[in-house]
Amino acid sequence: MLQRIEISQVGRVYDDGFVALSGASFDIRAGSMTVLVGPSGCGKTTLLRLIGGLDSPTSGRVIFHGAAGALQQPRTAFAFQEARLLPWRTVLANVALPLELAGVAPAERIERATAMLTRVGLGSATRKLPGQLSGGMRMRASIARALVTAPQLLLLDEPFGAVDEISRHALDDLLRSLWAELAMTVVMVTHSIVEATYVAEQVVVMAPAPGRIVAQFTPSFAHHSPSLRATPEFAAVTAEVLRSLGEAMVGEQR
Amino acid sequence: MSRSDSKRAVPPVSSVVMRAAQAVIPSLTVVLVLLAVWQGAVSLFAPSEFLVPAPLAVVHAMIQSRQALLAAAWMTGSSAVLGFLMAAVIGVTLGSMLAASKFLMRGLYPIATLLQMVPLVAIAPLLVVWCGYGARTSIASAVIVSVFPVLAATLDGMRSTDLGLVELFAVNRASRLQRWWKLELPWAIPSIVTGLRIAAGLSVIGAIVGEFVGAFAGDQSPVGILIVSAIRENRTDLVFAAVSVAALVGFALFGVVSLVGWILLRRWHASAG
Repeated sequence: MLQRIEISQVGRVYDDGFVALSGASFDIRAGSMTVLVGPSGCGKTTLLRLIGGLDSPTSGRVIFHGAAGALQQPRTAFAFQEARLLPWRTVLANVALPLELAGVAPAERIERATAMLTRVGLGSATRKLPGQLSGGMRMRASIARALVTAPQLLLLDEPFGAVDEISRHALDDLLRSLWAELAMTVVMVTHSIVEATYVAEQVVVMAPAPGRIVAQFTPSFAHHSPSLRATPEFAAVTAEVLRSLGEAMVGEQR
Repeated sequence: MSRSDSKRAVPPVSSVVMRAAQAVIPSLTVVLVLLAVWQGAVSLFAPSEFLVPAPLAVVHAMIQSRQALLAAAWMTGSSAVLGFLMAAVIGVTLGSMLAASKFLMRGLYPIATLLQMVPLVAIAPLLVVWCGYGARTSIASAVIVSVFPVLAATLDGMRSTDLGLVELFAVNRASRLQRWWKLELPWAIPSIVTGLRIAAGLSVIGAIVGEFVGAFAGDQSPVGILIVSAIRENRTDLVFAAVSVAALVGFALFGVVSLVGWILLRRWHASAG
């Protein structure tokens, strides 16, 4: 059973000498919602891929701690910046794809995919093709596909970056409710400080050149609801995150 | 994901039929005008019928020799279809293998390209040596001439698979076979259909070239033999009639392939819109 993920002095230098990430260290508690936030080129996606095992660090380690010592990579699912749905498959068949690849029986995978689609609000769109969906609906389908395998670790790479503001708020609320319901560890990458502050238990602020961690916050609000975004306490935390990022960027320019 | 990003509706069959009719009417009009010009020119300049027969003379020859022409169309069409189907299977299989292995692609693709450059008429006599006289030579000839477009289209289609989707399959620990069957092959279908459309016309040409060298006259002769016989008898009108029948066979095969492609793609790909 996963207890925490330890990011220990993790760095990634590419073959051409570009330092994408340098000396990143922090802990992710199992069952928490961590958001990596920062400008383009700060190594957020690199760090996410290293946590997900899609890439290997050139220095440091990503360690998955269980009760009895280090574990292998836990059951991990990804949702990407683009929905990445197969255009010839129905929404249902797209969401069932991970189960199909894992050899789950057709009846079971249809049942699980249908239930997950209903959960993300796409119960009436199961027979549609991706080309017939709006951007927000496609991202919901993408989230459903990531969750259908009941992952222990969900990694999201700017999943709502391409949708409009209203849909984005709705998707953030959906993500939080799914996280609370499914008791999984979530690590999300975003450009948006407002989104990071709203959804996260832990905000990790990153800066570029080289990609590094500059601050960490643990926003805690008494009541978490959509109206939170309009409250002074939310604005104060957002301003604090923004300030830390601004200081890091100014320091870099000097 | 260029293929699915725009929100598009599935085109209804009736609108597609209407659009197909709208596409056919202009070309049919052009053909009729050209035939009228041809008929007028022949009437005006009265060239020898051996050199240029009038369209009406060609139609007359078609009616007069309809039994022989229908039999020829059937024989040549059968060879072309069989050759086309074999080329489709071989082309998609080889294209998939080459797409899967850089070593195979670097080793075999240049050779396949080189073989494509060898003129079919130059190797057709060899086919007679290897396959003997009869339909087998025509089928082999059709396969040789039409396999490369399918291979190249399959290879290009599979190599252009969206890298994001490849990563999605990797993240979900898909096997190599699963990736081919559930991602690369469907992704390549639009490209494969294009290759098959080209191969459809080429397979008829290949079958006729094979017949020129490897078929023999009998009670019923294929198009290639009919053309050779008509030339020997100075029946240019019959040559035109046989060539027209061959073109119709090629057009029909092209139409069937286009229809199958449309059925496969109409719900999700812009090329079938």
